[in-house]
Amino acid sequence: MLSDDILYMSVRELGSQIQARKIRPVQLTESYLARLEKFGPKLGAVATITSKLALQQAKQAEKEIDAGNYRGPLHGIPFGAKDLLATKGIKTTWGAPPFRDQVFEYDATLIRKLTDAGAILVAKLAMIELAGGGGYSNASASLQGPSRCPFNIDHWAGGSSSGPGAAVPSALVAFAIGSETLGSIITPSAFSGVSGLRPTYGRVSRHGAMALSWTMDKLGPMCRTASDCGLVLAAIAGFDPLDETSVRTPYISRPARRVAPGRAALEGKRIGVIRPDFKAEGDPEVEMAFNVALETLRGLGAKLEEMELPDYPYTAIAVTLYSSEAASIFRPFIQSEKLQQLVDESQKIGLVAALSVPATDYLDSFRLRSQIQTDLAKMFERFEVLVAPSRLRPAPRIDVDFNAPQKSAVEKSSDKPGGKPSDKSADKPADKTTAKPTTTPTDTSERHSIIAASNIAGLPAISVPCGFTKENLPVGIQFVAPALADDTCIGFAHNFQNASEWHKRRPSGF
Amino acid sequence: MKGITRREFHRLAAAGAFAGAAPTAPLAQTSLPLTPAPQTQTATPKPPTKLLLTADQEKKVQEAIAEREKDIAALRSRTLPYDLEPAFVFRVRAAAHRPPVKG
Repeated sequence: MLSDDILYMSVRELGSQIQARKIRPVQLTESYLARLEKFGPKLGAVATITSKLALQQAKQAEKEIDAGNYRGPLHGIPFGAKDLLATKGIKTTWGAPPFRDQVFEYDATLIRKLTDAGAILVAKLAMIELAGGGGYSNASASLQGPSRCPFNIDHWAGGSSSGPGAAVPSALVAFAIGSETLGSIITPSAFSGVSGLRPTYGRVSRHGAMALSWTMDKLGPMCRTASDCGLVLAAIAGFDPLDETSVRTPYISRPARRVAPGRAALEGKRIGVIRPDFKAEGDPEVEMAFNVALETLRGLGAKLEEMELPDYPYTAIAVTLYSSEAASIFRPFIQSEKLQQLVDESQKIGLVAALSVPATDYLDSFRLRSQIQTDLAKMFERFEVLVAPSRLRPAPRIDVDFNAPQKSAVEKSSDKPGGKPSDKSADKPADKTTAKPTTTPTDTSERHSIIAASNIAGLPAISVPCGFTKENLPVGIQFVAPALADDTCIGFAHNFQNASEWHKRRPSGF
Repeated sequence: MKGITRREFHRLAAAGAFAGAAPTAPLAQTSLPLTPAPQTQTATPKPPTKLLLTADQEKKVQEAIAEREKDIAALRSRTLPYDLEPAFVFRVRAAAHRPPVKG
């Protein structure tokens, strides 16, 4: 077996070692498989370990590399995929008991692209059932049970990409693929200390991924460094005739620019800072870590300016959009007796309630979405990226009821999970742009709802670790960029990681 | 589905076919009986019209809907410009290219 030092390497480092034939794909795969067997159950990270396929792919990779046919930086690299991606002949459970025996006869486009790049599928990873489409009340809302944060296993790994959240920082895989509709990559990345990228909507084909919301679902890499996210994205991005919403604009992963001597890496770069009211809703330790991260960015030469989002009811719009689409997608299931087989009661209730969203609300949300796209694009004329805390609180304990009333910041508590972001706070008077409210003003805290706003507009974002609490729980900072500027947010996060060490911390005991 | 003439439409409207107070047969069936559907189609089991929920779940669904009504008030309170179209665009699809028929 290979040493932990090797297995905790970044994809970039592993790739260069494989190319130099210092690390052999079969040995690397066997080592990750052994860790999946050993630690997977303890962390609740795994749905299915794909040993047979993995060893077959590893032998093939080794043979090709030995013959001088090196395909690129993912050749021979073992990865895990959230269990909502179709894999030919291997169970795809969507994390839900009613689909425990579901097997597709084809691979999702993303899986095919990674296979073409020479990557090795070692596991299907755990997830919240149906990606939490109906809402969920606790970390156990999954066929696979709760996934645990490797840095403190009494706490949740985050959701709905919970398996990737647990598996990446504990080096059960070299990287993983997650999905996000409304916070499901950013949240587990924040809670588990992962560098997780939510690409621009349409950047990655959704073909073969469980559809929760046709217009909001995104697939993206969850890695140990921001730079690795760029490498993986380069392999999975691109137009796919099987997904008409996939974009034709090519994604080019640019290596970090060399900084001229005497110049700071982010000199003169303009960053918009979304600072929530931590006193009202956040955690003081998260606030402290966020402030230190901002200082790091200043130290790199960036110009920081506090700002707020345009005035819209982002959360209501996002929830209306995805829940209406989920209700349409799952209607036959919701109306069947199989609904009762779901683990979480909130999930059942939420899915049924979603059947009755009025069409006018759905369409109005889509009309406001037009305005939000325009207004957020204008904002990026002033800033290259926006930064915000990925979540306002660290990971909740594994046994917390998410529906229970939140404690105040002073009492310190858990955050509400990925399905419905609670990153809200009080704010300044509204700077109205368009679609002014006529009767009920928007909840002022919505001016900081960056997860909802950026998902509605389909913008890319990356969350990277920026600190740890006294309980050894990771804290994340997110960088949000304009549509199709995925490389911009990766670049900022990469520079941040060059100036910080948080992403290098390893969980003890794994 | 077959259409009806404007005259037929007005006759039915005047007769209260759209009143909705009493259940009436669908308009198309009132005037122009449809051809019976093929057996394979009619034989397909329909999903149950009543959801298979317990009384407690039914209550919670109603509570969830009420909660959503509150959440969505901010959205509904906005007056949207008349010409604001949704962010999605319906696109026509060109027919697949067929090779010219010979002969």
